[in-house]
Amino acid sequence: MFKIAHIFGMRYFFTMKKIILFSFLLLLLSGCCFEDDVEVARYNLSEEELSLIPYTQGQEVIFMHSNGYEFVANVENIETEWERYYDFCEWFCCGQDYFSYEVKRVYMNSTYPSLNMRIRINESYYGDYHPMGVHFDINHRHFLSIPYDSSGTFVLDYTDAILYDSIVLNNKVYRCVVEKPFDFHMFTDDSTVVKPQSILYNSSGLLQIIMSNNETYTVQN
Amino acid sequence: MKHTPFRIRGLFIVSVVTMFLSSCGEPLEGTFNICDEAKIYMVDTTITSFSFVDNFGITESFYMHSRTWYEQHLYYYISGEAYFQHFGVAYSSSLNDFFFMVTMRADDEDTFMEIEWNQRERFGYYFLQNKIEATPKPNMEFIDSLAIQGVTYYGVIKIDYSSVVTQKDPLTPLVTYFAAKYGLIRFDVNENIWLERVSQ
Repeated sequence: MFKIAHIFGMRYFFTMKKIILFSFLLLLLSGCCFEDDVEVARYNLSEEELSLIPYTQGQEVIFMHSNGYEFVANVENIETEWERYYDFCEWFCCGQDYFSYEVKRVYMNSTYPSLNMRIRINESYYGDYHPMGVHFDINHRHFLSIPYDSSGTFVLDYTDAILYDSIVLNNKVYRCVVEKPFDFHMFTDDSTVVKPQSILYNSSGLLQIIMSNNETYTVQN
Repeated sequence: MKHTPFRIRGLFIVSVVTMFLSSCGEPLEGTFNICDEAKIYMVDTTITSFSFVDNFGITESFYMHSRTWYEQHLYYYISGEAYFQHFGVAYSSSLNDFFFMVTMRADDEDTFMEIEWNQRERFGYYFLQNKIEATPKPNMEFIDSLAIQGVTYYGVIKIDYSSVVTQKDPLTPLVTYFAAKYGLIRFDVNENIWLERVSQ
C-alpha cells in the first residue's frame, strides 16, 4: 500500500515539476520581443551644422581672464554619433518606430580654472530630442542653448540672445556674434553667487564667457 | 595531573562568564552634545553663500546646495536611549566646481570633525583626544587670529598637506584654513594658486 502511494506521489511530483517549468518558460518567453524596431527616418548633420562647432581634436584654445590670467583649454574629445528617438511608450514596447539623428559633441577642458565645457549640436541637455540647437554647458552646472536653422544660421527670435554684426575682442573683429545668457544653473538660484552669465559665440566657436560680476574669459587665438 | 580536567572546565566556565559579562555592559543613555572645543567651529549656516578671490584676481563663489540632502543639518542621532548631536554643512563653488563639506559628530567620549574636499579627500580630527585621522597625515595648527583680505578671523585651524604631498589632484587643496563661525576662509590649491575669502 505504501509502495503504491509512494509511486503515485513521485509521479504527481514530476508532473507538477513539468507544469511549473513550462509555466516559467512561458512567462520568460512572453517578456521577449521578436520584432525589430523600425527606423522611419534618418537625419544627418549638414556641413553647415557641423561647422557650428569649429574645433579640432587636440586643439589648444587660449583664454585670458579680464585680470590678465592666461590659461589653455584643450579640446580633448570630439564625438559624432547616431542616436535614436522613440515616442514615449509605457509597458509592453516592442517593434517600435524610431528615427535616427546625428549628434556632435565637443569636450574642452582647462585645469585652472577648472572648466569642463561641452558644446553639442542636435542634442539637448534634457536628454530628449530637440533639434537645431547649439547646446553649451560648463561643469554640468551652467546650461544654455542657441537655436539655429537648416542653413546653420542662428535663429534668435523668441530668445533672450543678442546678435551683434561685429564685435572687437583683443583688437580682432568677429562678425555675426551671438551673446546668449545662460538658461539655467543647477543647484543654485542665489543671485548673490558669482556665476557665468552669458557667452559670446560665432562661427569661430566660443569667444568669451561673461561672469555675473562682469569678469570675462576671452579667447586669445 | 588528576586535577587537569577540572582546571580546563573551570577555565572554560570563567571565559564564558567573562565573555557574557563583557557583552552586557550598561546601555548608553543620555544626550551627547558637540563638545565646547568643537562647538566654536560650527559654521553659521545663515550665511548661504560667500566669495573668494584667487591670487590672479579671479572671483569664485561658494554656495550652499539647495535641493540636496547634505545642504546642512543639525540633529540628534538616536541610538537606543542615547542622543548624539550631529552637525554638517556642504558647499559647492560656481566656477571651478569645488565641493567642501564639514561635519561634526558627538559620541560618548569625544567630538569628531571631518573636513572633506570634492567628496574624495577626508581629514578627521578628535577634539578631546587631539588625534588626527587622515592618510597621509597633514600638519595641523591652531592659530589665534588670521587676517584675510582685510578681515581678521579668530580661532583658525590650518590643515597643511604641503610637507607630505606635492600635489593632490588639481582641485584638492594642499592647505586649508578654517575659521570659527565662518568656516572656509582660505585654501591653497598648490603653491602657485591660492584663494582667499572676500565676503563674510
